Amino acid sequence: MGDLPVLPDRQLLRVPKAGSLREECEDAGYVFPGDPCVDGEGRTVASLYAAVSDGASESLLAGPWAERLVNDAVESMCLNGDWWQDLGAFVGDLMRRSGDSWDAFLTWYQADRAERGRPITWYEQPGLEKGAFATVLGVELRSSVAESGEVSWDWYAFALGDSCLFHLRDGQVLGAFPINDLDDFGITPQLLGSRNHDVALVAERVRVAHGTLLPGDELLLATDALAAWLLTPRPELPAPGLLLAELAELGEESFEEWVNDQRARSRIRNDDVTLIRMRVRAEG
Amino acid sequence: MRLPPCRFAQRIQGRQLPYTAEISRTNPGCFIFLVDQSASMSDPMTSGEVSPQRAEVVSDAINRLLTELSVKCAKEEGVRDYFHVAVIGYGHNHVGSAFQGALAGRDLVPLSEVANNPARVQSRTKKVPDGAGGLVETSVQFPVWMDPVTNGGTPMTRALGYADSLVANWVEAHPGGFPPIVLNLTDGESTDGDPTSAAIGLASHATADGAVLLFNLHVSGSGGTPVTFPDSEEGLPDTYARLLFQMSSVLPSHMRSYAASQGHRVSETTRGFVYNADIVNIVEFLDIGTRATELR
Repeated sequence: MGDLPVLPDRQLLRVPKAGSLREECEDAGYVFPGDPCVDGEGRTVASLYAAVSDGASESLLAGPWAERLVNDAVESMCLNGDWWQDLGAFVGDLMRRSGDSWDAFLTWYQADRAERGRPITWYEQPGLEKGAFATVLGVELRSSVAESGEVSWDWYAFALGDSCLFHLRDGQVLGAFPINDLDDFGITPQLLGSRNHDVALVAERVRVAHGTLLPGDELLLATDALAAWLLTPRPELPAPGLLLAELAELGEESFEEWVNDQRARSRIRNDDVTLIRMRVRAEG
Repeated sequence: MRLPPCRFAQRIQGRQLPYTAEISRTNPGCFIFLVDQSASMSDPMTSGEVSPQRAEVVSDAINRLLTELSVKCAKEEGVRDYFHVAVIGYGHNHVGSAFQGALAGRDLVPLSEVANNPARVQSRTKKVPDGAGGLVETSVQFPVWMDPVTNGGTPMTRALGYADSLVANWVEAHPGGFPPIVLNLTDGESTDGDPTSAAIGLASHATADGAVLLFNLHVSGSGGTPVTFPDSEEGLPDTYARLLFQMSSVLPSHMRSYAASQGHRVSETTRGFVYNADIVNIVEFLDIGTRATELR
């Protein structure tokens, strides 16, 4: 194995909706560095996997479902090699994984409620029968070191719903996926339901994208409220990536203060916010 | 018609569009149901033998509305207080709370208390798909907060006045919130004068987000075709229906979009009025966050 690629710097930030407790946040995010290996072309590769999910406020157990989806999405990407080349198989794997873990969770949850003397009530039953719903967005950021020592960074992403990936260069948005128009946000995004077993339909709705990063570039994963902020032109402000980087580096508390300030100014809708930042270190 | 307006483009030239205020625990909404409990409500809906009493139709609608609201706002830790709800009955010499059981006598009640305190919970059977193409009977819990009551005259004007004072207090306490919604369920035959002025007065209260919304469900024995969210009086069978239509607020644009998505033909003058049809779907018009919808 040649030189090991250096994985990008990464950071996960979450801010619950104003008026909600941290444990009531129904967004989830997960970042996982994979083990390095050698690919078919003899290059040493290492991947960073990340996923965000936004649980639908009108569904029951949306937070736990989102938590499972980000973990399962990362696991499915990890275990399925070039997963984007066979989307049907990848989606099938993800749905089997999340379906199994969800069934186990539901069994535990109902037993736990009964044990605590709080059995499921009439107003929860319809929601449990309907299932939990969430968006899911996953990305694999693959670093490869060629024999010449040249390093390249490629990203492969899939998305269902309105959680978005942004490719930033010099702090400016170069591209957004899967939504790049503010009018495409709404309150009825496409969602993965915990009772949905229609792999073909989900595979048809899931979108994939691919891109390449240069040293210094950043990838952001953001749930819809922050994604909409990132897509809103603000010529009076510094480049959004620079602003977020500055805030994020100050830590979660500063980021939360900023989000709350933007909410108060009606610049960010009051919703849970999740941000994952991944930055390829600049050369030198 | 396009589905709900984009949440992120709800400002025009720096001004918030009306009826887009957040509904949450910190900014709750207010729902007031006015229920006609007069003697005429004991009449059947139609002349057929199996036709239910109007009062039964109305109390069933209230119980289902409260159920749907509770289910919509239910989370793991219980029902969230996204709304405060009043059920006001009006009939013989009485205008006041129509809640039965633990909530009796109370006006505006946080939704979690409503959900946790039905007068009783009935078990009803319902046929559901068995997954193999057939149907199977299953038991469904049906909470009841009020039973049919029929007695005396129809003091609708007083009832609207009662709602007026609840709304005035609410608007004062929640000046930036989503405006109160008042839903009047009646056979339309007011016995304490023309309710028009009271309705206009009620709908003139406003928050920064818009004026109070007054909707009407007319249950009538006059027959004719059931009508849901009409945009004109045309086709309404009698003066009561036309009066209630005139009293009803025009649906805000996002509610029109939901009505359209439920298959109703809508226009910019569509009103929150329903004649002899189901109004429980109106709960779907309320935005409390991302909807849980299956992929299509």
